[in-house]
Amino acid sequence: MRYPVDTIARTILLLCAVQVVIVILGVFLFLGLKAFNVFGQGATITGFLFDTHWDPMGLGSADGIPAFGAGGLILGSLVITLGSVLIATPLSIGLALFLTDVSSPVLQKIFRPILEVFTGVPSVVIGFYGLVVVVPLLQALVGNLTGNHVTAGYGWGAAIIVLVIMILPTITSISIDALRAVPGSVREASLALGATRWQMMMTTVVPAAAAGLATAVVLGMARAIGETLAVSLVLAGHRVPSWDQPLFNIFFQPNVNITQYIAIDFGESYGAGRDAYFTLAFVLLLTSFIFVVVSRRLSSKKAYL
Amino acid sequence: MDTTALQAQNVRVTYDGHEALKGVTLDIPRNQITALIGASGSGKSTFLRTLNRMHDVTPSAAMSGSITFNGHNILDKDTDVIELRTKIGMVFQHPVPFPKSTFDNVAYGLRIQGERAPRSRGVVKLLGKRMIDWKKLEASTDRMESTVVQSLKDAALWDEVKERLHLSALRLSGGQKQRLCIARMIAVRPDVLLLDEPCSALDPISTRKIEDLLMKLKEKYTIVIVTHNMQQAKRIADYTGFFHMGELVEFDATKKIFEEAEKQLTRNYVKGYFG
Amino acid sequence: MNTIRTHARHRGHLSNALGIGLLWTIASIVALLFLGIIAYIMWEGVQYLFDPVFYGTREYGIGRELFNTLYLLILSQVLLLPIALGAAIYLTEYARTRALVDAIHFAAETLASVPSLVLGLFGVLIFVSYFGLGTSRIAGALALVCLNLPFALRLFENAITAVPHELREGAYALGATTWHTIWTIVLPSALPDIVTTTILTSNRVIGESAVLLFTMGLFSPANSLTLDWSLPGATLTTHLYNVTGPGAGTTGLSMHQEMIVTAGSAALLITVILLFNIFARVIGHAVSKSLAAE
Repeated sequence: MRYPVDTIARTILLLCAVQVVIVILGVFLFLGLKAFNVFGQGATITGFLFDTHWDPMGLGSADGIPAFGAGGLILGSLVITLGSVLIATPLSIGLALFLTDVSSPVLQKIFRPILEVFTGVPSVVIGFYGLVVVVPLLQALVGNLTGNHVTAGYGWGAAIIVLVIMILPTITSISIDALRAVPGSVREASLALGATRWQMMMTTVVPAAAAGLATAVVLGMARAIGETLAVSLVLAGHRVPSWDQPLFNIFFQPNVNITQYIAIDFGESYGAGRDAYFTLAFVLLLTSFIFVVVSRRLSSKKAYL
Repeated sequence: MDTTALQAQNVRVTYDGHEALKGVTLDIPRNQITALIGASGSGKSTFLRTLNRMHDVTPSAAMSGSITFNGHNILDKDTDVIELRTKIGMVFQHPVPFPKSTFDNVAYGLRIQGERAPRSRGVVKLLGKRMIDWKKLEASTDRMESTVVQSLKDAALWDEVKERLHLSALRLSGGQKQRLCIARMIAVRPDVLLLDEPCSALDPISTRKIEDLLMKLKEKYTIVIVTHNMQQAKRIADYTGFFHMGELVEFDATKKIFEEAEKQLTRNYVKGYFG
Repeated sequence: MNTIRTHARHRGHLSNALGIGLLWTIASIVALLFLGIIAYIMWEGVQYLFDPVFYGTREYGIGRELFNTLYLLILSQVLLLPIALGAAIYLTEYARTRALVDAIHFAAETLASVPSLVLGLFGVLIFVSYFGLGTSRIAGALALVCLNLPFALRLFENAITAVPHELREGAYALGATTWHTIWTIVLPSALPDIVTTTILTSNRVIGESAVLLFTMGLFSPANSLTLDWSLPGATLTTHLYNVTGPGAGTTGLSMHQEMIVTAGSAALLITVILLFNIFARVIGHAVSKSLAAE
């Protein structure tokens, strides 16, 4: 039996629910349309991905011909994302294990709020901290080693450190959920067979939570690749550094990545040059989407449901 | 030979001040099946868990009294609990195989103790996947492999899983999972087997298989089983202890408990007046 | 029958001690790191929180940016909450086909993964250009709504599904319509969680920056302290970014004054987030207590 008020309510509420779909479809559609313009302006896909000369407004060349080589930007994003995930993952999972299987309930009660508060700290504040503390610190530590006495604190090194700080809470929170989802009976069974606590954790709990932990890492990666302002402040570069230097040095000088360059240049761009930034944004969009799909596949592979 | 495997004296357990077990004194006879019966919350599981120091896992639990095993008081502070648990094994109500292959589940207890897996003996690669050739495994003289085979046979599971030893144990049926847990437990070669309501999550056929299994195992092991199923106790137990409200009310040969118990409370329980 | 080799057992105890020690070390380092960062920021900036000039609009005052943050908060929440709540109600109480619910959840998850800068660029395309709103506070608010929609939706869904089924069944058994049940039974029961959700999304709004960079701009005009939604402006976060980074030296402030702005803004933001966090917990407890007492 249908009641009028229910029919009206249902319709209105359905419209609300559909908003989500409309928005995400709109994002893909509009960004996608704009993104592909740039290939009509002389850019090629391989050129876009692998050339490192990025000058979408053609300001750098005498006859105003733009260059759409985003390779350097993409490399920057890849390096700092992978670097930060590699460092943050063991720390996060270690912290999560500590909170679920080692610490006393009292310690957990203290730690959990700290973690929550830290998740809420705005990225720009971390970026500010990075600029004011991490960069000078790196400068002092590394400046002499690279021969760069002024700007050695900036760049990939600082960005990786800042990103680690930012994604630690994310990976930790999701890892805690994954570890908690392993039933207590698994832990009991392991201990009853004569395992030490560490053995129990490493041989049963972590393998059982593997899918959830992998999801945590993937989501941490997604967060890292999209991080903008914090990373912007410490990368502080305007062009891709030259390759004629020791690899170590490249990590410690002003550098670029996708989000940072969008942040500094998009505002002044126009026309076809602006479209190039939409292409970059679309690349980020696709990458995040892939991460979502991967994490969903992983989530469905839980050992104990 | 000493006929008592475990001697409990005045064992008391409190959770945050609340007394869950009040001074239980009991001698567990060797190579017999002892059943612990009683209503929910009567303390029978609590008592069982003192025997392998499982309460250590709960921070709010405190134990007092003594439990003598092989001449030592296992409730003592400097007992090596890890080693104790390899001599007194436990199987729980819900079968919990680890997310590993059947073979690895049974070998788990051995690996924990540092036994190394042999190199590819009995293991062949088929289409890139590791398969286990059960015939090679059965013939193997390696300590780990032969222990695994023997444990699976003792647990009456070998024939059902020998073709699938490399597959995840999570795919087994409920009854098979529980027998796997039993195989896993005896692979470590304990002296005492503790079982906490092992059949309550299983169907009657699986239950029967496990009961038959336990009757055979008592030749080699001392068995203590907590059960809320009185018929089960009658069927398989040599001795029965009746718990009520944290106290051991009566302990005697099973026949005596069920037919001519001394305490009225016991008689009321076995007649089904409360439960 | 002892099957343990003694040295293997010792090795087990050793690895246990080392492993657990390692975890303690990691936890301590991370805890010190987190606390250290917060302590440092507060140390540097908390003095300015007591300076009235800081809250004004002259010199190094962040008054306009503070106003923008609050304005944006209210504007975006007013737009976000009804839509998110409505969607949550639909998904939990009205939806009949599993496929539709799954599709919407998938869409929400995908939207949640979109980096905020990318959403900001989308906002520029749609709200600033296509809808012709220009770089304005309303464009920023709409972009924020898109950003927070998945998060709010998920929390609201949790809040509503947490309401025990028996409550609904009681109402249905008395002949109430679905809507009536929702309005009179489900929503009031879910109220504590709804309030908490509001506070949590507010937290995110206050801390957001990348999405506002190009939808709202970095410069707050003189007449920012009005309700005109077509004005551009910077919020606390985007202003902090601007003064620290790209706009350093261009704001007409001395270096020392710029330092005050950045340190003070950072401290202010952390204080606000902390307060909101505590607020959320306290309110959550208090509201659920008062409901339980009825």
